[in-house]
Amino acid sequence: MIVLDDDDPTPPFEQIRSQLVDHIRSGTVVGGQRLPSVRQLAADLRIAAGTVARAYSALESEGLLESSRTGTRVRPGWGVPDSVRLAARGFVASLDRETVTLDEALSAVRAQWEARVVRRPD
Amino acid sequence: MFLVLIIVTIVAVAVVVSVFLNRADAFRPIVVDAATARVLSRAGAATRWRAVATLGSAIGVLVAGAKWNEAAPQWYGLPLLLAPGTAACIGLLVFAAFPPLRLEGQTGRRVASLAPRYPWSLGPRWAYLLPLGSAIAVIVFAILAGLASSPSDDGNYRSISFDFGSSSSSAGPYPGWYYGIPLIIMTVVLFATTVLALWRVSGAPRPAVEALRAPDSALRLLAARTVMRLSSGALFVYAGGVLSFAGLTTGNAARILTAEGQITLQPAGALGVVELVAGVLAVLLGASLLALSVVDASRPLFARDGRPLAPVRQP
Repeated sequence: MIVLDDDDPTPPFEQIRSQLVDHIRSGTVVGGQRLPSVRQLAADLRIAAGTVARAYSALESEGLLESSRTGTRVRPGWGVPDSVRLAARGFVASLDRETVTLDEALSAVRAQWEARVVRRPD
Repeated sequence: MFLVLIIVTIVAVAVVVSVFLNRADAFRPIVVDAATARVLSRAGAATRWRAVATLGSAIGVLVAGAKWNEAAPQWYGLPLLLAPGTAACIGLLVFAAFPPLRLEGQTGRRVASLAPRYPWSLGPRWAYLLPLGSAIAVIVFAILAGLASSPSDDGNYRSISFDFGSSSSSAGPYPGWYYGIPLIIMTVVLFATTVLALWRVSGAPRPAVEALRAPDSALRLLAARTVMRLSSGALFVYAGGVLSFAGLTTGNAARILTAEGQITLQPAGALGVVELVAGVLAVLLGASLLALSVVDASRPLFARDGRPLAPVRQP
């Protein structure tokens, strides 16, 4: 599912691109899976086809998607390991009783991540 | 009088079978807010207009075909044969010509699925076997009947003949190449218009408002079922009608008058009975599907308590 938030200052193209990256990395959409056509996704989101095309082509440049005559597919090998997905699910579940936003939760993860990098320098 | 009795019996059995088949329905009521109910009410009116136009045009073409058949006896019933298929094609084209139903609502948060939509993704795969299977059955039987047919006095392949010693017997009208080739073309056109109508249903944008997605699924499922049942019904009526005629004619041709009296050639005589029985069953199935398509096309979007209908299973 792609969600476009009109109140979000992030441009629609970037909202689509970043959510697709999240879906691919989290395994919600798997390698080889076909994505909706540019026309279908644009019509469903009530935006210009060029906006979706731009997001798709950015992800093609990053190597996450591939296009052919039969449509746009997810390239295999971009999903995170299952252990990471399970840990993320556990982390989100542990926040059920907390009143934190997604940004706040991500900030906490980011801080822990940076601390881990400091603790284990290359 | 006899024909009217047969038609009334077929319609009565079709209605009973339709009611029985419709008992295990895929719809259940869901609760929506007042804003969503207003959107659905407008969609309901558009759906009713589409249903009336679809059924009205199909019935109109059917009546016109029957009139043309009466006015043109030199075509040996060909207009009557093609009338149901043409009626279904025109009905489906009118259905497809209507602008796709779009459920629109005010929201600052628009959602879209990442699943591609195709004409064949509106329902379970097995549901598509019905029109496909009936189309293949009509074409295969038309070819087999064509191969078994023989030319009548005017040279058209619309008879069937059997030889028994020095005697021979011929009967018609038989669904030979004269009827079979137009029937095959009609079947292909009917299948193509079915795909076109399903493509129009699947190609319509889904609502961007989360609350409208379940009612939208219900509308799509109903539209797809109407299309599938209309086309499958017409094809089964064809298959059954042709089989019945072939059975009657084969049975007549298989009865040969010899010096010892009348004999029935076998296995042609038995084949005629089997064809006749199978044909009547196929006509009943087709008529039931047509009745179900009318039920779906005229189904109210709202239950009596004001709640809209939504599918248990998402298409």
